[in-house]
Amino acid sequence: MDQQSDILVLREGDGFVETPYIRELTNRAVSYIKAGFPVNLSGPAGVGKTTLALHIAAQFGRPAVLMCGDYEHETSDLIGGLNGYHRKFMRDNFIRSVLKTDETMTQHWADDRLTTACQHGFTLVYDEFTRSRPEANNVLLSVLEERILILPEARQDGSYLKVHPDFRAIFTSNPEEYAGVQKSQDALRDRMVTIEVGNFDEETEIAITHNKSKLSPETCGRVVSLVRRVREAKSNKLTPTVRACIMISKILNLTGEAAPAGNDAFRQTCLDVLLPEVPNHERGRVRQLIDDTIVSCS
Amino acid sequence: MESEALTKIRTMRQIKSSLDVAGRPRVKTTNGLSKAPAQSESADHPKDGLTMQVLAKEKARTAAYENSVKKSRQRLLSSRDRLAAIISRNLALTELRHDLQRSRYQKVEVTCSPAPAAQKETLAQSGLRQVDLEY
Repeated sequence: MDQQSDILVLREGDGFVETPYIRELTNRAVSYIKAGFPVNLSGPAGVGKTTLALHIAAQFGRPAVLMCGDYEHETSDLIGGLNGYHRKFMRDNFIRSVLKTDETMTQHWADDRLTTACQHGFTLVYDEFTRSRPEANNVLLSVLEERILILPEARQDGSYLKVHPDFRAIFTSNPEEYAGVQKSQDALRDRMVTIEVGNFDEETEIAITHNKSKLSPETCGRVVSLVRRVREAKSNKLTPTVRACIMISKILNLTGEAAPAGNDAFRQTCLDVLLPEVPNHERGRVRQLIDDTIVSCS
Repeated sequence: MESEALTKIRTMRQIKSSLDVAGRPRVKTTNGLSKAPAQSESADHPKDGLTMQVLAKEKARTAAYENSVKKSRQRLLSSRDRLAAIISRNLALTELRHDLQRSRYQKVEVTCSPAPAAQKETLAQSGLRQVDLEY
């Protein structure tokens, strides 16, 4: 076995914001993990689940291994498989009248991320695990409960691997009604603690937008206020998320606009970012709302 | 009058032994002078292919034999080194044991360094490549 996965050393970037809301969420997740239960951060797209998962993983001070769910994934994409072979041929003719040949061929096993994490005690961050087919995640059942990883016999170093005591798992997922999301196994969801992550409070959204876009806090406040009003006006209150605030603010910062009233460029940017997520029958109302909010913010 | 001294007697000094003859250019005998060149060729300079092949094989075999002798001599020397290291370690341990026994009987403090702590495999030793990720 001569091929192993790379590992991630996590560092908090300058753009990461830790408000009391995020700190409370992080502390809750860390306490669940320390109690021995993996955590699943479930919520809509763009609320910061992956960043939060990485932040939680960084609290343990151990390297991490990041995996993303994929419909094409099989169990071998999690644990590893046979990869290449080694052929050895020996010809012995030391004694002139005797010719001896010996040929052997062995296949190589390459561990993948889950096996590496279980073996060395790293933190596994499995992003969007419900996008993988349920049968691909079967191997996690024994890892999370019995703390043993069952591997194929083809692995030369043993087919039962005891999970390292420092191994931890953090999952993220979208709600099941999202496109491309599979129904996860009841047995797997039963083994983890699910924390619903929704949209952040206004203070957190303004802080995140300001950190990511480097715009002034006042302008970020106007952008966040606009996005929150659009979110409230929609029937589906999951989108737009803080990602939309960051998008609008970064574009404003790049173009040098300051979000004043009557600014067509700012209005058009808001329409481009916010309107595609709105169903057709609500677009007129949302467009009017954006115009009214821009005027009222001046 | 002709001298009657025995001047033509050849003693052992004059007669060359086979040792004297060996290594020097071959002496041409009377019979050899009249032989044709092909006949007078000796086995030291064979020209036919089969003999050359046999000679080459023998040379190769001798070289292989000498190699194996050299290898086994190296192995012998290395095993002697290992044995010497074991012996010196055992001597040092015996000496330490005697010191400890003496200290126990005579109640004398003997300082000795503790065994080195078992090192946990570091990430560098595990051979995994690390990638920095800023979130």
